[in-house]
Amino acid sequence: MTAQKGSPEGTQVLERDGVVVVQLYGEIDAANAPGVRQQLHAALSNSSAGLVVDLTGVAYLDSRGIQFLFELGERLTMRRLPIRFVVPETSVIRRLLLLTHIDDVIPLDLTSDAAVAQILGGK
Amino acid sequence: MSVSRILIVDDDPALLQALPETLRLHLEGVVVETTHSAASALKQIAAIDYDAIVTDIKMPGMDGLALLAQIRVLRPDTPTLLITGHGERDLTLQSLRGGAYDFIQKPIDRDHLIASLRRAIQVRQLKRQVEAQRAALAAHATQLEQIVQTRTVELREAVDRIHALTEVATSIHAARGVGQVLEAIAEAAYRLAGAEVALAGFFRYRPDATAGDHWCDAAVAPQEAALRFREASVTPFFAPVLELRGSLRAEDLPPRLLRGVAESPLRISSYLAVPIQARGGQTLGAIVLGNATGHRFEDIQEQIEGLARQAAVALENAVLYEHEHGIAETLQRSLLPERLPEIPGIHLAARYLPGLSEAVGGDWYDVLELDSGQVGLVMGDVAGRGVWAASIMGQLRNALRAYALDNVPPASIGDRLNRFIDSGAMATLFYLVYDPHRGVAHYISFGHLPPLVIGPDGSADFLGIRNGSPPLGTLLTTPCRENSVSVAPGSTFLLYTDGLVEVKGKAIDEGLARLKDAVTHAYGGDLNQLLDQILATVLDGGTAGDDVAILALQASPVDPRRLRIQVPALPSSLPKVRYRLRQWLEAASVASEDIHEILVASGEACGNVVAHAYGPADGVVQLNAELTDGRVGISLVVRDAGQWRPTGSFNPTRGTLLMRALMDSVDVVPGPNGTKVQMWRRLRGESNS
Repeated sequence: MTAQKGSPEGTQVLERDGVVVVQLYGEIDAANAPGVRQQLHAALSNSSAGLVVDLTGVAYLDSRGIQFLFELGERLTMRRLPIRFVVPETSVIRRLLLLTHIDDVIPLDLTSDAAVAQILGGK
Repeated sequence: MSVSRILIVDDDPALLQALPETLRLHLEGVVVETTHSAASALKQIAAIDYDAIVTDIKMPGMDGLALLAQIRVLRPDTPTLLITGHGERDLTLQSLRGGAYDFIQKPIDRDHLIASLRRAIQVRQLKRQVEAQRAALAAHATQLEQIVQTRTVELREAVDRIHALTEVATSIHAARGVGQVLEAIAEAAYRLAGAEVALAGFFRYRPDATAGDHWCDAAVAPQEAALRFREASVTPFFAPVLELRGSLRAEDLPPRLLRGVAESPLRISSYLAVPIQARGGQTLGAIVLGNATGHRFEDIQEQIEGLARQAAVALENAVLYEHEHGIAETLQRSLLPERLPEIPGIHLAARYLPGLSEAVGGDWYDVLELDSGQVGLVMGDVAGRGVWAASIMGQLRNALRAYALDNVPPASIGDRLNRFIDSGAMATLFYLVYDPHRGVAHYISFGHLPPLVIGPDGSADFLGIRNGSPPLGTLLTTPCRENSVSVAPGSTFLLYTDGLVEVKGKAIDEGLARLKDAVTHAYGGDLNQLLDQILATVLDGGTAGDDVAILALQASPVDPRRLRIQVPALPSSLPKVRYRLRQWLEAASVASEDIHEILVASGEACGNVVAHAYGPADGVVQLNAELTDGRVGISLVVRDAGQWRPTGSFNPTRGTLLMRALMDSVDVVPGPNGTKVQMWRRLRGESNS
């Protein structure tokens, strides 16, 4: 597979049974992490049942991007909103995320269907 | 009728006594004088212009014939009658030959004498009248001639004045900008007035500003006088115009102001100042004449006032012109890139040379950093000059930027610009998108001259434009079509506007050939040197008539073994480094999972430099990558030129942790000139993609 290059950031927001699914694309680094954070918070409402961040399309993530993901997990946990990340086996950032032990804080799923099902089932 | 005077010369006293009486009796209104010798007669004849002379031939001393000869010299027009003895035929003949009017034989026949005298007097008087008339005619002719001469001189002066005024008007109105207009006015005043010095001043600021040169732009004529003014102030010459009203002469000035004029380097005694007034009545400036001696400028004042009226119009236009020129220049300059972006793997250089024309042209160029490391090059030329052209140029530039940054393909951008351009505006445009990753360039051309492509071997050729469009704004219906060309690493694109190759009166092909020739012979140095050499050769040391814009892009050749990148230490540089490094790793067939982790590790190292190494001043970050030990591993060195402080605002431990986790070895080496991060990693294998 050729890694997806190009556009630094891209987001697509879906809602499935009250669960907000945000797909992120491209590269997340120091330059655009604040913008991505804003878009994620804008996608959430008080009635949201949970958040799934689909990182399948992310081609690059640096320590600033990882820090941002940690912060996101902490915030949502404080708000008692369940959050899960989607990272397929083939993702170039999977090893990076495992290296930082983010899965200790936020559970990882292989598909967004699985992630949504986990949130709805855990309710 | 006037009195006729007759002189009788005879040595016979009896005759002298009798004859006058007889003549007075028979000739009306005659005065008869007598004398007894030729000698005394001559004295009287010299003194008095007689109407007739009667003389005896035989006299002691000088005889009558000798006297006649003298009279003919002295009074050639006076009829002379000679009295001869009876039968003296020879004497008679001699006397007639000698120019006598008549001869009278003794004894004197009274009637004959009187008749002859009367005739003689009449002839004499007629001659006199004719003479007088001729003299009057001659005098009249002379007078006429003088009148004609005077009138001719006056006419010539009038013609000269008209010529001078026409020339003045032409030179004043041909001048651009306040400085040139003032010079023309000063020169005109100097020539019209024949003054020793003439000054023209323009009051830049409000006339009530405090004295000092700063408020007055001035020109001085002639040149010699201007030189003498170099050190001295022109203020005293204009100060009276600001304090008083109307045209001023030396005698109108209070002593304080007069002193200022008189103590100038020119020692002026005669002074005339005429204000230059705008239609609104405000004083724009003044024309001042000065003479060290004599001439008081009374006769010239009216003409100088006429000149001042012309000067007012010209100055107002000049101010408008400068204003517009300033706006256009500012506008145009602000639209050209202040500096070209620094893109790893790509060299860029550009030049902009304003042409001879004073109005700003509509040439522009632009460099756009697009997604995926692509680079957009823009070269355009709006037809026309001045503010209007500059504003059209700004609209096109911004529209193109917006579309291009939105990833609109070149041909679609072309179509949109063609719909977007103001009606009535026309522009040529060349837009090229270079994709270094695929080694290809896509481009569109709207009637623009073809860029020159210089191959890695130095060969130069114009880029083929098969799918060209007419200039923007000329034809709305034709869809724009894209061209493409493959680009070998090391190739150079040279974009330019027509000012570089268009020489008046010569075919464009000649200019293009010159450019190609110049490029072929100049190539070899760095890109900036190349542009300087091209400009020097093509423009032949002179200034271009038209504006010249030139933009060059060189795609660096890729070294499969090593990569060197240097970029400004700015957050926006990080994706560029990443892109370039990824491109190189892919070209070196490094596996994709290796690539990602190498990118993250080097990104952390570079990010640390950007975040910590520098203060507000500009700095750079350097990345060197090298495949080592026959592709077993990769060595990365990230360097800065400042003091790297390993603590900072965002979680540096995680960054360092990531680097150490992703690479087999990480060494941070602080040095006096900066910090060096050395990393090494074993590669997993060949890429299978």
